[in-house]
Amino acid sequence: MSIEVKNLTYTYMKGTPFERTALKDISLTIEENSFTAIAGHTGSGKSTLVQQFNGLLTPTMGQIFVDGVDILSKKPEAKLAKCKIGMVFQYPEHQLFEETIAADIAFGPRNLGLEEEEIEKRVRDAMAFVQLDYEIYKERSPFQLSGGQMRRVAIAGVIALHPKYLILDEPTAGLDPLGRADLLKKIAELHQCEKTTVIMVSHNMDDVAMLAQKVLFMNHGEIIVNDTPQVAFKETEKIKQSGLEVPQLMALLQQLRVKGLNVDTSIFKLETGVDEIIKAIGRKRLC
Amino acid sequence: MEFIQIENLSHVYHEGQENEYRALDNINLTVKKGEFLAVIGTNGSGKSTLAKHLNALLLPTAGSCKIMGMNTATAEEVWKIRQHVGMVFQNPDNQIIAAVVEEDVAFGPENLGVPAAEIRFRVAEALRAVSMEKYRKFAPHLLSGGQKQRVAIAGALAMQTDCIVFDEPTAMLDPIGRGEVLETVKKLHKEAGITVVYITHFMEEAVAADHVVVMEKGRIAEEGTPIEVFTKVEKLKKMGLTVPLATEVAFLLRQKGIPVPETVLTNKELVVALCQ
Repeated sequence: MSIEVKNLTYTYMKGTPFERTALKDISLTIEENSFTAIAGHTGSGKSTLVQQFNGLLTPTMGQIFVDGVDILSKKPEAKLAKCKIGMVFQYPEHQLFEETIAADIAFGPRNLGLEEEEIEKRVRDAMAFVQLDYEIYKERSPFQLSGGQMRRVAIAGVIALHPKYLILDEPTAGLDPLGRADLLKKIAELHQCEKTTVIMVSHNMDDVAMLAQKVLFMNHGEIIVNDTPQVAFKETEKIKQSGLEVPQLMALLQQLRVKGLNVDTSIFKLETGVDEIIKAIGRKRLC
Repeated sequence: MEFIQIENLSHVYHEGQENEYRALDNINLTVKKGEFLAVIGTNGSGKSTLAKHLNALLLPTAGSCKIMGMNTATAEEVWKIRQHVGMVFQNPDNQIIAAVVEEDVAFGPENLGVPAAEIRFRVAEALRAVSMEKYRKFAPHLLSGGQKQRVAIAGALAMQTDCIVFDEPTAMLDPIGRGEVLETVKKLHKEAGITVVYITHFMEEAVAADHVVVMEKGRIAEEGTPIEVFTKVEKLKKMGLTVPLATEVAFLLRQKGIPVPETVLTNKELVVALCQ
């Protein structure tokens, strides 16, 4: 099963002077259980693309199938298919609205018509998942939390829906390094343990390189690279075109290589990179 | 007289209530005129609360905050203080209000009652300083994140401010936008002598500052030049922070017996150290 996009084109404000084609003839398959990262500069169409997957935006042309169901059809299956997709927007903390944290997280599951007992279980699990203590935080107002904590509550609200496909739009923006590392670890866990299919929109190439199995680079509404991180980050020209950068470690290794240290540059893990530098220094001494 | 003088400043939210929270705890800090200060720290460590004291958006619950000798707690001084200290926040969409770039930049001086000719001059100057003069007739929502953030900076400059406080200005931007904003900040600091207080989670950006302050649980946990602060790799990591990648790689290399100087902060410096 998968999300399948066929020849999708999307034009904002069609028929007005502000008409702008945000997505041009995109075809794409996101396999179940995969981890896909979508990267590109501001305005490249990333967010517009992911909002098509659950019907928030409707394509101007083209088709979208979620697990084989055409989500643009008017059939009841289409609605169910859209419910398989959970979306964490940019600044999810702006979506908080309830008086207590527990009530905010329970809002989605309650709308699914679940039993109270099941709702509470889901709220507890979701809060444990984002590392907020249930007893301490359930009665607190979500508006008295720090930015990072609000982000976690908002994510818990989506996790509590148990989406099969989870879309996260810039989930780590504005989080401190530890908060970022924690959240990414949790997302990786969801992917590995719960078999959730993850689609992550990100500017942060270090996050992308560490986690994703597939990387999509977008530029001017088109997908210009769709490959594994190992291959994708070798497309130096296209990365530049997309207004992106290679991961920091890779950039450092490339600079070392230019200056004559013979290192492998397609390394994404810090420890491996350090070992590679040590080996390269060893090789240099031998010559 | 120091430009910013903070003495024994504490800030307690909801004082006396059940959910009382001490966000700042006895802070002492001075910033000289023309200095570039970076503030780092985890979410909830008090960085933004501190920033909001610098132009009297928040007032100390104890201690004092003085800008050019003026106390932020003195109601008559607040408007003067706000002309000296501008603010740029994380999300430019929250502070751009007009439908045309130049009108947005003109908003501040218009409110001060500055004559029209003078406003025109200031807006042109401010947009030139952030390299956005080409976009003066554009609608802000059609600009990229980095461009919008530069418009926000121009808005502060048009007030002829001496100091700009940046609260994570690059958090929402793509790599190019981040580069644009940081370059603009560096240029304003260097060429226009603007005093900069720069809050960030990107350690590579903090390296550009003259001075770095590390906040933890409402207190200043560490303070010094970027070299003094970032050489404490283990201490920063314990606090939940990181150091620039080059510093971390150098640290790990040293642990494995490769001689690399402790002062490495940038890729360039590390490359020089390893490839002489």
